[in-house]
Amino acid sequence: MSPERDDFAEFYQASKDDCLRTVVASTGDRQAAEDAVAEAFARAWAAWRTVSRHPAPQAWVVRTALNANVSWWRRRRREVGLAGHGAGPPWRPGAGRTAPPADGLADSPVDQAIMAALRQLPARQREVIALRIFLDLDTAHTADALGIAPGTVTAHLARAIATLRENFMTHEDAEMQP
Amino acid sequence: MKDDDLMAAVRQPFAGITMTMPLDAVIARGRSRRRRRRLPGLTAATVSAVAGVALVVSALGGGTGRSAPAPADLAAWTVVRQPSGIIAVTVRELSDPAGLQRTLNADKVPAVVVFDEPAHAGCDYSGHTLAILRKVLQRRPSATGAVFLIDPAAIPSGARLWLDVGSATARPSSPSPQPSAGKPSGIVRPGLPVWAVAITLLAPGRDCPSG
Repeated sequence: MSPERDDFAEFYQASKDDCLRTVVASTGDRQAAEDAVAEAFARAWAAWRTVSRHPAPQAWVVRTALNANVSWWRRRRREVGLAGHGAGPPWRPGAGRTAPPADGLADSPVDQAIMAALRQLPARQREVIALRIFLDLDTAHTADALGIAPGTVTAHLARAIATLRENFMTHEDAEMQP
Repeated sequence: MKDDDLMAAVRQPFAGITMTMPLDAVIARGRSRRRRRRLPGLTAATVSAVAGVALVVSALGGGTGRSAPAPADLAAWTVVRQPSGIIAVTVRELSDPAGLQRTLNADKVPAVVVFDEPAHAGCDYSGHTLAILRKVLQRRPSATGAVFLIDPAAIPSGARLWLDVGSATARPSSPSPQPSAGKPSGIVRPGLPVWAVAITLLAPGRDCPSG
């Protein structure tokens, strides 16, 4: 293996899961997120000499994946849109399809409450908090990744944390009710 | 609750989410992008055809001596052999079914692949139950095409997998289409395409009549 490939392989192994989690948390669509992240890593490899010098290459991947996801949604809306696009068990001629399975993200009531709280956040707040939680990006790198001002990142993060805390506390209170 | 505790709690539900695409497949996809950038005059279809030829050569050995073919990643479809032996297939466009069939065959999946053909009601199901078929092929939700996992080990000895991938656009006038041969059924919204994967297992020596 070439040193360049070794370098990329190390980066991929170290960051692929957290990049995927960031995009899943931002978009809420696990399969589309995996497609978008795979595409973003492929683009990173295609331009690895440039991307490897990025101050936060994993943020570059997430940004690219989010852009790919947005592009896909725009294209989908412009062309035909989609409905039940393929979830479900094997389908045989003459057999009816069943309802798509859940995305498999959350199992426990607490997990589901967290996912519901995340979904309630505005998209930009979700992106900011996902970058902080999964990639541990500071304000400057988050601002760079999202193309917004550092002050805007701080404001989005504060609002997102406040909303999540409120939802979380409400859920805990509800669980303590007899 | 401190911010760190809150963030740890938010992180928890995502702990089981991991990328399944192997590094080699990502690199192959990246190489494909590099090739397209270097050949701006060629259409995507031409690039796919070139890649398809390269893939077949690779699958046939091509003097490389490798026991397993490299992951195939074309614009129309992707085939990735996972470490567990499961074959992950993504079909984005109904193009080059013969190439997909050759790739699956090279990965030791005895499959016959057709795209968007009418149902084959005369196929010999050979008594295979839905439980067996579920072991052979599992669907994955996807927004961009048909995504499914094939377990070659679950295919009964000597049998062949008949794989029919199709897509259809729900008609505005038929919001609740009836199950019909060769087309997806179920709850669909008008005007939107639906992907379907139909499979059956052909008994040794038996075939599946067309139409």
